[in-house]
Amino acid sequence: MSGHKWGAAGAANFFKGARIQLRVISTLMIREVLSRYGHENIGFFWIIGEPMLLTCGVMVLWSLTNQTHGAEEVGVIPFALTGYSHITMWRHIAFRFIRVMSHSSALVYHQYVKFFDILISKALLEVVAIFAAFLIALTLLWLLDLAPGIHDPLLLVGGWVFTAWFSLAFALCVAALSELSESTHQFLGPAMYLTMPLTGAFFFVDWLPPRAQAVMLWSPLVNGVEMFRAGLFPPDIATNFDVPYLVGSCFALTVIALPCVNYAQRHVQSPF
Amino acid sequence: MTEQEAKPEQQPLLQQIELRPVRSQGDLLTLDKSGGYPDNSSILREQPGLFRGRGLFLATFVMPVFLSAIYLFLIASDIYVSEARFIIRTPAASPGADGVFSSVAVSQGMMRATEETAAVNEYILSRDALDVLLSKANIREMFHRPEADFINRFPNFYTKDNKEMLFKYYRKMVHAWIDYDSSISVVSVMAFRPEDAMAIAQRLLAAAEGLVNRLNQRANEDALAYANAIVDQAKGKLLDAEKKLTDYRNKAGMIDPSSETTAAMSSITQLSTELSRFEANLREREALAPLSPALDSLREKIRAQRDEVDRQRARLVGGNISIASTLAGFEQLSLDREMASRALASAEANRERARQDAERQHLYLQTVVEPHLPDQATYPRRFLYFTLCVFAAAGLFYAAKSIKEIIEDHAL
Repeated sequence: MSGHKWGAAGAANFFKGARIQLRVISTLMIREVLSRYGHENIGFFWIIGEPMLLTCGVMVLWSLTNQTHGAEEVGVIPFALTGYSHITMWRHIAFRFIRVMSHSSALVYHQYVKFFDILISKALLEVVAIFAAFLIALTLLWLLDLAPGIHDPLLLVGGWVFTAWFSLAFALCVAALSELSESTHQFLGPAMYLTMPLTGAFFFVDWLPPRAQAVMLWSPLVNGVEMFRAGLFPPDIATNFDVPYLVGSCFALTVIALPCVNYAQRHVQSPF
Repeated sequence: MTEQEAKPEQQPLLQQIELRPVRSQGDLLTLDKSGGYPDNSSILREQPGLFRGRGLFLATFVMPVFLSAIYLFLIASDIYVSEARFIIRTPAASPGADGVFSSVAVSQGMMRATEETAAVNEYILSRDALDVLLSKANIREMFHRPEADFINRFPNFYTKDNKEMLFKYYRKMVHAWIDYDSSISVVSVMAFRPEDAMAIAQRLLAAAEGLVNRLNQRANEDALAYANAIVDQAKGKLLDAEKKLTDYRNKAGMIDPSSETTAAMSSITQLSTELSRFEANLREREALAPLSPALDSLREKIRAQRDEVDRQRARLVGGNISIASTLAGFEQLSLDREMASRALASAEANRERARQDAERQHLYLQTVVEPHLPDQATYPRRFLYFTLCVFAAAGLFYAAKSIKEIIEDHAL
């Protein structure tokens, strides 16, 4: 294994690679947002504005038609806000990763750009942008006294991070599978739609009967959104989540996704 | 393999060619920038031995597996689990004596008391139950047995030895829950010796029974206190009415105006009869002997009799102290007293019924499954945990290696 650097040089090599990778990822993020939204209107602030439009539209609609969806004592508006932010992130990341490697195979001709960077940058962009949209909407609503102030920031950010991690791991699987088989992207849409109850965005676990609660708590997304809501709402709103289970399931999915991506990136069919 | 010029006086024109396998990164293959020479500036290079280049493997896979193997197979102590199940029941409510609920179908069996089941469940998991166990079952000793390993025992090298930590540990070792479908409460106790687990479970059941008895007693007392209060109130009202009646009688100067009326009426009747007889007599005498001297005395007698009748009549009606005017007041007070006495009778009947109901509303703790003496340790599940640890460590190693390769890729 000559050419492999040992000891201190090895560590320096690692950090050099890390610095380069960070620069590459940030560059890719900027490129992504510019290629999506350009310079018109508010330019790249649309990356924040787009999820905000959806979420605010839903909140307005629900509160005007008095459809509380069972959230009377919690408040429809923060309920809709947390649920929709969560589910938007999950869906956006998964859908954008369909055939991502073959669509962006041109970028890989650069020396420092690898497939993994492209994937990470796309996911990271969505995560940060939707979280920013959530925070802006929450601040506005809090000033208008329609939503509670953040109760526990650690739980809030932790719930978001774990959900993001899980979404990323799942999306990596989607990316790999869509490269390897032709029809994956057709299954993904209906599958995401049918598994929407499993995301836990439209109910609190506490509202379910005990047997249904036990079943629902097997879903990592439900744990994630409950942890997120526990960070926002005061503790008299009951939330059930299990952090070790959440970490374990994210980790397990990552361990499954990485070899899939490693294999699939060698079999990318360029569209050109 | 090296090739050198045969003639020593010529400079070696060919570089040393060393065949190295190129590691495939899965994308465009990149060759080493340096053109094939190993880096001379590294300190540790080409180390012989098994551990060369395998630091990550050692750290993320071998070390956790090794440590967990040592802990699970050599250090961890057996934990025995004893389980008990019980239900809280109460007799079904019976309808009232006046048959108000007779239209509702009544089952005379026992029902499950779901609120009290939840209450007993909370009690078992509370600090109160821990206090009971501390005083009666020396639970501290049980958590600090010599068999217990240094991580699982209660006071630990990393926890403080106070009541809050003991409570946390207690919650870790004792689990109580209510089964979803059947509402049967389950208590499961973990300890380091089988007899300890059974003893703790038995003691917890006894404490739960104590709680149920306290609930019963309180319910009893509350119901009876209320009924007694009602009875006392009715009694007070009755005495009040009696007193008013007595005062009135004293003021009016007669015991019972109605009987007085009857007596007065009968005497008036009697006097009137005599008066009419006297008048008949007088007329008869006048017709027979108009100048008889007995006529005057007879006339006197008639006048006296008439006065007497008038006087009796005056006593009956008319004037302030006549019987008729007192009769109204007397009737009112008499009615009051009648109603008060009826109220008292009904209050006493109610109290009797409340007492019977309270005795019947007793909660019962029925043990469905007694705590058993385990003969085999349930925890730790050594092979299962070890296998899980191996898989998790393998996953961790794989993930770490992948990420390290990805990052180092960028430095080429």
